[in-house]
Amino acid sequence: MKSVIVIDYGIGNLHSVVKGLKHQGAEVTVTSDPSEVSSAERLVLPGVGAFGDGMRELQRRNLIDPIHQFVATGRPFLGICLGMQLLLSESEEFGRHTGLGIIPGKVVAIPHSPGIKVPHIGWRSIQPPAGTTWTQSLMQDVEENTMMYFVHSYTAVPSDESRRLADAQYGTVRISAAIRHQNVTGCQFHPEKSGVHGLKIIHRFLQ
Amino acid sequence: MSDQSEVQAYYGLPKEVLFCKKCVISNQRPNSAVEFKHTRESKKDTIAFDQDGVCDACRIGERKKSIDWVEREKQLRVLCDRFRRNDGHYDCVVPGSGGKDSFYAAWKLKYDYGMHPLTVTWAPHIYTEWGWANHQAWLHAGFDNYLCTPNGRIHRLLTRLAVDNLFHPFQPFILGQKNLAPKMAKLFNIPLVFYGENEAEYGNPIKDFGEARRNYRYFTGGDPKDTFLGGTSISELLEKYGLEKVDLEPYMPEDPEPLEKLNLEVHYLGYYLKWHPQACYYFAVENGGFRASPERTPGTYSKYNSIDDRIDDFHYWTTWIKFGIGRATYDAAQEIRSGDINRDEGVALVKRFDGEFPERFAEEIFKYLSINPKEFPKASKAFAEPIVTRESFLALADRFRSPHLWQKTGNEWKLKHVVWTT
Repeated sequence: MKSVIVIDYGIGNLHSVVKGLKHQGAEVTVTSDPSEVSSAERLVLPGVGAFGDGMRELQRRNLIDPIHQFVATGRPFLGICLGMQLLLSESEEFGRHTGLGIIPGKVVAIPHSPGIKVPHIGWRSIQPPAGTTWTQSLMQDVEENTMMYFVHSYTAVPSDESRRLADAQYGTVRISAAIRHQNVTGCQFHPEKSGVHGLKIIHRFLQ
Repeated sequence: MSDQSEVQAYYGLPKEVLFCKKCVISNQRPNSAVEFKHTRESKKDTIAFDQDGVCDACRIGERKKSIDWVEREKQLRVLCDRFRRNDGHYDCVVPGSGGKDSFYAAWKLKYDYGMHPLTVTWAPHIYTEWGWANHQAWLHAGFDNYLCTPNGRIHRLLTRLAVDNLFHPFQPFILGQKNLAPKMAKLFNIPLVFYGENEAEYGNPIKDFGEARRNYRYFTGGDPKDTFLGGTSISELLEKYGLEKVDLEPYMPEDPEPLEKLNLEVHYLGYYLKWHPQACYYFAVENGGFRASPERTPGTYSKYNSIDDRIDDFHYWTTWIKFGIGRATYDAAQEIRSGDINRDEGVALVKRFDGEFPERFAEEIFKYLSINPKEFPKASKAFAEPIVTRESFLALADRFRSPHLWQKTGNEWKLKHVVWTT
């Protein structure tokens, strides 16, 4: 059985993530133990809430170094929602906060413009950025323009365009729906709440 | 913000409206109370907020995370061992509708704890088709059941009075429901009753939560002179509305004395087992063929809770009028605490669905509430307008809108305080 560690850092809802992983046949351990995190076979960083709180809670549990150690092993890592945003260098949510810095770039507020409601809540279709495909990525089983479920007020802007794995168009705003760097993938949407298509991403993550 | 100090607040509600920082409930939510003392003049106790602006129900949700459920489960085994019978008699009463929670409770007690429950049901005002099907599915999952259906005319009259006096169409159901289990326990000589969740999970005082046993206050009465049904005194019901004493039998609170003689214990299963309403729903689907409502419930987004009574829609619409709290708020607050959705999602759902008028059964409900001279020769004379129409119902609603919550601009009523602008 594929074993997965889900990081419990006291923030947000682990229930659906754990259910989604188990549904795809994973053996799931929810933990905040630093040594279990660094030595995981696969690692999931979920999360809901504010960026600053998220980093503070990781720090408080001494989980930042273990996450870096895990990433350096090349084993599969999946960040979801806030867990994706924390991968970037910094965020401007309620002040300026430093992130994990695994993917260079920053997290900014979804700009207010006509027809845009913030938070962005609901289903939206995702596409690979122009000129790219999803082969050799966690998205490879997903068809282009599939709808996924989003709920967020901030959006990631990687400084290197090539880190963008999937985009979603929300009014005039281009949302980073998924980002990637080597073994690390982050999804702004919730694969665990996006029905069968979201589960395909979890399935691929477990291969 | 406008000065609220001069504005009147009905029902003893707090004048300053606050929304919980963690869920979407407001501080206007009344605690469940002793319904047979409820009159228009009653002052309500409301959900407490702490200095961080977080409601008691959310604090309980957090506290649940640190409870040693293994230990609690052991206590449940000890309790069951103390009461279990294998002599051909029932050993506990499980009251419920056959909805997701009572399905879960009865099933766990019978199949996991080896108990022999008698299930008892107080009928809804008017069953929905799916509510009835679920009630039947419950019994076919292996339970005996007594269904108590009150006299339709008396129930309608009390419902009408509860609407006129308290704008509380659900009250007659609550009165009967709270009484039924202890009455059946007495009748069958069964000294143990299991309810599901503790009311504190939804905002009754935290101190209630540490208790496995239910307070007798909820279902035993004192002096009939202090007893009100539909906000109407017993003597008035008999004299003015032409009822007989026997008509009130199912609604009257139980005499505490025989219950004490029986050594009746009333426990919350939610004290011993971690209660997650959505999980109860999935459990009932998997183990008993429970079906959600085929359509979204008006005023909210959900399909799996409180779906068996056609008057439910109106119950939550009236709480929206009286307290500014509609059904989407109740549902979202519960699901946020259970970790099913987050606060942003909850706020969006409240904004979209709260207060939606329950059109689907409206005409049927107005007819139900109408006290026509043919069926009610005496009582109909006691009403200035015996027949309820859409116009009369909406006009009545306006009289229950507390000035500290509502504002009328032109022909449109608007809530002064909403969760999405806080």
